Amino acid sequence: MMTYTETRGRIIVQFFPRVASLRKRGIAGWITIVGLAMVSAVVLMTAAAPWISPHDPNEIGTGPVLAYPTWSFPLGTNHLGQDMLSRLIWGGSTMLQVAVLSVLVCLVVGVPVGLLSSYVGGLFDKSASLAMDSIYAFPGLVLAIAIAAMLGPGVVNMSLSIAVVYVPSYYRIVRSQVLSIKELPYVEAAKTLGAPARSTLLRYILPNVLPSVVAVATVNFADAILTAAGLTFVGLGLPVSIPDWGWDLTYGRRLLPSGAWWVITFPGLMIVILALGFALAGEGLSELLNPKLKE
Amino acid sequence: MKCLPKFMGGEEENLPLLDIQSLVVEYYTLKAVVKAVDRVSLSVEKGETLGLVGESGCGKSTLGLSAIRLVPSPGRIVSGSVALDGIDVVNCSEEEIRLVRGKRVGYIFQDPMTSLNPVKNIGDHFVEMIRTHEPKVIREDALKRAEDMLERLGIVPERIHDFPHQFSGGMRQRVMIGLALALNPNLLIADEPTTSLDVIVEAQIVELLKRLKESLNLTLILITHNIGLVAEMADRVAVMYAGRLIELGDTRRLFEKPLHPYTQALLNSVPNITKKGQVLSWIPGAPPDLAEPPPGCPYHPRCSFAFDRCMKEEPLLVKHDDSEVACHLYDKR
Amino acid sequence: MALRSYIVSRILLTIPMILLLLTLVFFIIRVLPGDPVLVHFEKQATPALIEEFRRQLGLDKPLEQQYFDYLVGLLHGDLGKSMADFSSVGQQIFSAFPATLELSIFSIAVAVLLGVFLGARASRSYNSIEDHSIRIFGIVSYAIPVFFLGMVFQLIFGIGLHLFPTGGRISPGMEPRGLTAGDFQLSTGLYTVDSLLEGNLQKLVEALRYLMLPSLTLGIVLSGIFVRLTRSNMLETLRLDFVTAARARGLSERAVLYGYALRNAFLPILTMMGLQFAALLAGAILTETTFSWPGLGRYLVDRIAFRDYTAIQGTIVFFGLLVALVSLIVDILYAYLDPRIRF
Repeated sequence: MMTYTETRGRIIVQFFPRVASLRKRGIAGWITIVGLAMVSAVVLMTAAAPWISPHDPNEIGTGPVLAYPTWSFPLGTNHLGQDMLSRLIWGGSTMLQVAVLSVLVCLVVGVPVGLLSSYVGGLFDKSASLAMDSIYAFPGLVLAIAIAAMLGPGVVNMSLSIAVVYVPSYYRIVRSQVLSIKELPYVEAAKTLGAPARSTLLRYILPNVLPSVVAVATVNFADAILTAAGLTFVGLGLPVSIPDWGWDLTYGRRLLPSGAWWVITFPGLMIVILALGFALAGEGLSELLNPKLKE
Repeated sequence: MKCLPKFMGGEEENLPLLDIQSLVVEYYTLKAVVKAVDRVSLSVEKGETLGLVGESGCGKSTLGLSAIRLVPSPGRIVSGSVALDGIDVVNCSEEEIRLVRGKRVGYIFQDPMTSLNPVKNIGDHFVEMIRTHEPKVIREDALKRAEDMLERLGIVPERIHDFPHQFSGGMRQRVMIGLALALNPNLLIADEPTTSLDVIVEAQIVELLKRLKESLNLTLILITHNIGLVAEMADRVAVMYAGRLIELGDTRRLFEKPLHPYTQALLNSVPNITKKGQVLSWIPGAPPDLAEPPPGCPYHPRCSFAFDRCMKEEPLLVKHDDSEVACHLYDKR
Repeated sequence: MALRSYIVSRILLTIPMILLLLTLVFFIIRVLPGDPVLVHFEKQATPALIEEFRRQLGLDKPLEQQYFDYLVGLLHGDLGKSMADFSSVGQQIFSAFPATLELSIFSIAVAVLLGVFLGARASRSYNSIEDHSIRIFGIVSYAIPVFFLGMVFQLIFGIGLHLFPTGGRISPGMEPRGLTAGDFQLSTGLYTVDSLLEGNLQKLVEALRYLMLPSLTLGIVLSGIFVRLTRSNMLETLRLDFVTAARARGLSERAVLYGYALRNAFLPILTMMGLQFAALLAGAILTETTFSWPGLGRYLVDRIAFRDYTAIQGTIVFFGLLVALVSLIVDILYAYLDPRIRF
């Protein structure tokens, strides 16, 4: 059983993972590294957009309309003559913002409610679980659509809609972890020594729950991105003036019959890379943190 | 050795039922190669009960599974031979060994809770097995035989339609025994048959096994770490340590005068109610890492009699009086 | 019998969940910032017109009254009136639903068959290249937005190779009419079934041609989870004691694989099918939009474009009830198949 200082140390090791230590952990470690690398590449590209984008992504008529990829426009142009490469470089920022914001909201809401609910138990726990299970069982996109339709467009609104859908995931994992740890002897020992509930929760239970939360959050990023793309596709995304991969996909659909495949292929691939990166990282992390029997 | 026997009863009457020669079984894991069974030679005569004892991880279960070639991957039989009733177990085909399993050899596993298929009822277990080996038998007859078997085991025959989870641990073990004996095999291998049962149920199972052994004239290999069980049931005892056979002899003699230091320590560590003022003893140290065994005799780090030769040279199995033992104390060469 | 009491208790448990869901949907539409009616009109109408509009839809009554009417209406199967033309939302849902049902059935069939097949193969060739490629496929299929995959298929198979149609459900005039005998008509709304009922093989082929790309798209995206589930379950089950014990009794590999390993691994797959139903509906919405498939998903997206909030509410309620019903059925089926739960 871990002492407080050991627990703290464990958190530090896990929250600032050294790449070298990940590499030693076998295939799961490699998968995590690959995933994180993919994500970092996209994030870096988006952050460096103002410097590396060859053209203004919004400027209409930068090039000929629906031009095939050539040297001057490596990814072609769309129906408005906008350079697809520039749109590609700039297009991730909305999605990343929405993803980060929704995960943050989920963490801030889901984790504490989960902790409290499972620790306190009783009627509060039962009703919270019922509510969370109902949301969890519901098709995510449909719920997000409902909320986004009511709230209207915008980064914050999209993030909130997505956050509501995924809060139950965090709640459930936190709750199941707490329930299994709550009964362990060392927690009971702390209670008999007179530790107040708050400190037991924070110092003993929370550190053990965090690793699973990290794994869930990573996969949640991927879900958030896919849901954000879905919301945009359905027409509940952001105003047109902001370059966005989701929007390019949505509009590009109408251009397909003319054979302009480049309008959707590259933005789509970027979404896949970003979502895949998070998914791989999440997969690797959860395997590292909850090693399953491999033999 | 031919794969299929010439006559059903074996070629000669005094051939051992099971003859293992220099068997080596290794497990290939990502990190290392583990020698679970290290050049073990052993034979079991018809009608006898052989007890195979040792600590957890000493290789006795692997040895048992080797007899029917069911060593789970990543384990493999690397070298040596296993002759079961005239059949070359190691080299014969998959189909040939499959026909042997269940029909010539019955196998009882340790944990009855997990050894039965949860979605099939007891009757179906029997029917499936009987019809696999005797396809001409119709379902009603197979069920009848199953009911007879259940009765012999002390289970109410009406329960044939019940599912495994509806039985207690002891009852499930009886069902396992019944399945193992359903086709009248010559040999029964029981791997820790009573370990997961409580003491009273254990006594019942032991009684049952004894009774069945008598009435069916079984040859029994009893794999266990429970020395008391061995003392009660076995004619001969084989002691394993770190994958090696270190002592083999008549039960009585082994208990009265254990030869190998490990056997002595093992017997000493079992508390005796009748002795007054006994101090509980144990063997210091831990079993060796089978991926990197110590040089020389595997037991020497824990042995109070160890001397120079023990750390350098591996002891071979030698005869001493009427037993066999692998220890330099008895190897005067 | 224990099964009966399980069914009853399970149904009783569903009721509060459904109630909670209905209330949630109700409040989302009413209570969130932004008056739905005003947004619908987007500042184009006079106050008098808006009042009349409200009255027609019953939106002028106090909130508690609306809630009560809403619940009562639901018990009668009334899902509200569309803001576009005051027609019954329920009617429109009812006519759009069979298309979604047909797409869902084929998609989940693709997902399960593909997923289980690949998962079983991966489990048998553990740690090989085949195993790793299948696992990668599992993750990648999850990360692809379903509409992107749909568009890629449309590009390659529809526009590029001209093998399959890229949109719609069937060529005009080819809609199967089902079984007709004089005045009596039996049609399910499922074109594949109806064309069989009608005995018209040509229509069946047409219906399948149009179904091919959308169900393949949705099926592949959903298969990922089945691949992973089957693989890990099979790996676990194949190492279980009763499998070894079965082998020790001399049962053939085939009997062991099907009767022992798969049968025990199958139950979680069944549960997963039920759990994936929600994901299926979500994916259907996007797939239908991509392929112009005239189902419930496309209906919802259309209503969103029109800001027809009452219709949106009605559709979402319908989705919720559908999911609750399916999970109830799956739970009962599971209890029936796994004797451990029953007794």
